[in-house]
Amino acid sequence: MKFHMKAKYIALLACAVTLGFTACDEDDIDGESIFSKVTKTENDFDKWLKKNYVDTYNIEFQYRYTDKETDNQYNLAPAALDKSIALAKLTKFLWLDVYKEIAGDEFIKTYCPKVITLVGSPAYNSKGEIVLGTAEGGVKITLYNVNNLDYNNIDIDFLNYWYFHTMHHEFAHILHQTKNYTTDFNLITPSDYQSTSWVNVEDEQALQMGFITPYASNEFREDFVETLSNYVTHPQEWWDAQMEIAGAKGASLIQQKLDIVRDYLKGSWSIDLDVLRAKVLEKCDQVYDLDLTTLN
Amino acid sequence: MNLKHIIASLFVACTVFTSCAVEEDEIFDQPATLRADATAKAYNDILTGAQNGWVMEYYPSSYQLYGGFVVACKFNANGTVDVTADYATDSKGSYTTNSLYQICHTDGMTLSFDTYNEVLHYLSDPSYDHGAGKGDGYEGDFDFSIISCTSEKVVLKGTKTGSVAEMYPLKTTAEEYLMQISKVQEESQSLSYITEITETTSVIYSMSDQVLSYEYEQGDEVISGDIPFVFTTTGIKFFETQEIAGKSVSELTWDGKKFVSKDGFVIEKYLNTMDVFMNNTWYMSDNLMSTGMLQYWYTAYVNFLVPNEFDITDAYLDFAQGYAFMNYEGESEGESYSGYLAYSYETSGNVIALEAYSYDSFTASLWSTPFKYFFYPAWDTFTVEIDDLQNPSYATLTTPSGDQMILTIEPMYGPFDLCKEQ
Repeated sequence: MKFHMKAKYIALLACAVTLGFTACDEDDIDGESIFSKVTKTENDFDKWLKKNYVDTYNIEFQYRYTDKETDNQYNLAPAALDKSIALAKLTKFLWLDVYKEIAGDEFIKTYCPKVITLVGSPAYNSKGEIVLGTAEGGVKITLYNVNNLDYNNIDIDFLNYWYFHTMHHEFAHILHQTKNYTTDFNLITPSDYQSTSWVNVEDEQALQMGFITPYASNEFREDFVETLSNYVTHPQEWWDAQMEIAGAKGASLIQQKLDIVRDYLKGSWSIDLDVLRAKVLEKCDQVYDLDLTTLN
Repeated sequence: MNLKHIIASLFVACTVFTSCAVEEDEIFDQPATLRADATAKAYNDILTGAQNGWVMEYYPSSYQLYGGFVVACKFNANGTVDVTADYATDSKGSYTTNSLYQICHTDGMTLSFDTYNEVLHYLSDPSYDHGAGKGDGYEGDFDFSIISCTSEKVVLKGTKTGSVAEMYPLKTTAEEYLMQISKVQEESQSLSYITEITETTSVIYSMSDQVLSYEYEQGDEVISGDIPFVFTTTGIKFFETQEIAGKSVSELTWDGKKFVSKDGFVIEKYLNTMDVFMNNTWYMSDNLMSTGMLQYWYTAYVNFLVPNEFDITDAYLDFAQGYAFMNYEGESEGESYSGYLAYSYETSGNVIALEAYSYDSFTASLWSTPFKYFFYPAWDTFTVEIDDLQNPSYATLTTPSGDQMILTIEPMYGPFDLCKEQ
């Protein structure tokens, strides 16, 4: 009996559902899309980006200022078109192509941030300090101060300071958020992390405490990516000079961290840190011959 | 029918009879986005349709702290815009730069100048230390909500500041229009202005950016305020009608000598010697110094410049950031060099007292040598006289002991011409 009742209800329900879904069948799908068709006039740079960024890497390269894509706590200025072209070519050459050559096409397509946003001016906070670059959840990287890029007089230190150190830094975050590194790293200098007081730490002080930069002393994840990004963007002489300043104790701590970074890249991603660095530095040397104005 | 049957029947009834209840006629014939697209295109057609482009009087700060600027934009069909402005124009012509723009519908229709334009973004770029300083600059917008748009007038509202600007189609080229404004700016330029109200009462103004700060006495009261304005092809226009000393003023015409309103309100240049002296660059030469001063330079020349093969090609005095600077430029062994000594100063009427204050690192490295005598002639108290306050060409500086030097706006001799001849 119980079953009988149940079957009845199921039949009723089926009937209701059928009626419900068929009752409005006269609503045809409108062939018109509701999405905007007015697109900005596509220029040669847009075409170049479609080919070299969207089709190749599935990355949106936002060089035109869009209010909602930027941080509205700052007064900002848009990036200049010619500087954006130069930076797009540099980013592809010095960053995307490096990982592509070292770790393969699939790797960079899978893990690279999907949006790169350019801002012309630096972002000044109320204390007059400057933000170098920001990353949001491994999806988007924002690069500031693009209008100060002098592509006729390439200065590799400027490029690394403002853009590429940031990109390696943020990319390293994406990697460790995908596959975590060993927690042994966090135990090397566990009690010396400074949190937001890192801003008061001098370069020399940081090194002596076992941090490659003052920002690395913020917390262990920043420490991890700072160790990685500074190692790959600097030649051995620079690294040795830092170890000299760090002294025996500091240098030994930084070396332990570097070893973990090296093992992590090898074990988790099959990337040899020194091969990666050699490729980055090799490309840095070639950058002076790069045509940064022609879209080809 | 038991309760269960009733509920089941109701359920079926509800499902069947409500499913087609929302049969409403569409109010609009097209989806919102498509209608917005059509509007954006229509607006763009209006913007690109103005042959000579558009001109706007734009007050970048929400509170008009820096006054108004005149910006001209020529929108092109290929999505670029040519921008020039009164601050990018002088008597020789206008500087125009090109960038991208678009009309998008994010929060209503927005006109966005979305790649950097050296001229347009001068009013919003936080890298400049003018206006509110680094981090803010002139605080202006480059995204504007389009409030209304016709071929006669476009009303824009800055999305950040809320400042409203009206754009009008230009009848002449932007350069012709802006050069007329530039002529008014150059002719009327002065540090101070005055309106004589009665024989004993005057309104004194000082100008900073496009803001006139004024002050006058009324009975026992001192009345002061700031008037943001913008330069026009014929004179100046106040941001809003202003009451000054009982008169209502909104727009003044430059007649070549002074600003005059329709009902006879006058603002003239108010020149005093010290303002003119401190607002110019003055060249020095040993040909125009009395003996007392010349002996210092001669000492520096014989004991330092000659033996060290230093040649000074320019020596001049100017004022910046609350200090006077005695500057020099020259050559030594094929290399150019320059430096300065900064003097602190105090003024009283036509008298100025200069006292050595600091130097740049290059000058510092020479301070222990006889080169320091080079700076001694200006280290004194002077009574200043200027030949013509409207169009100055030279200033005479006299010390209490009667020593004199004449400084010139255009260099008349090389600084050490006389020493070299001896």
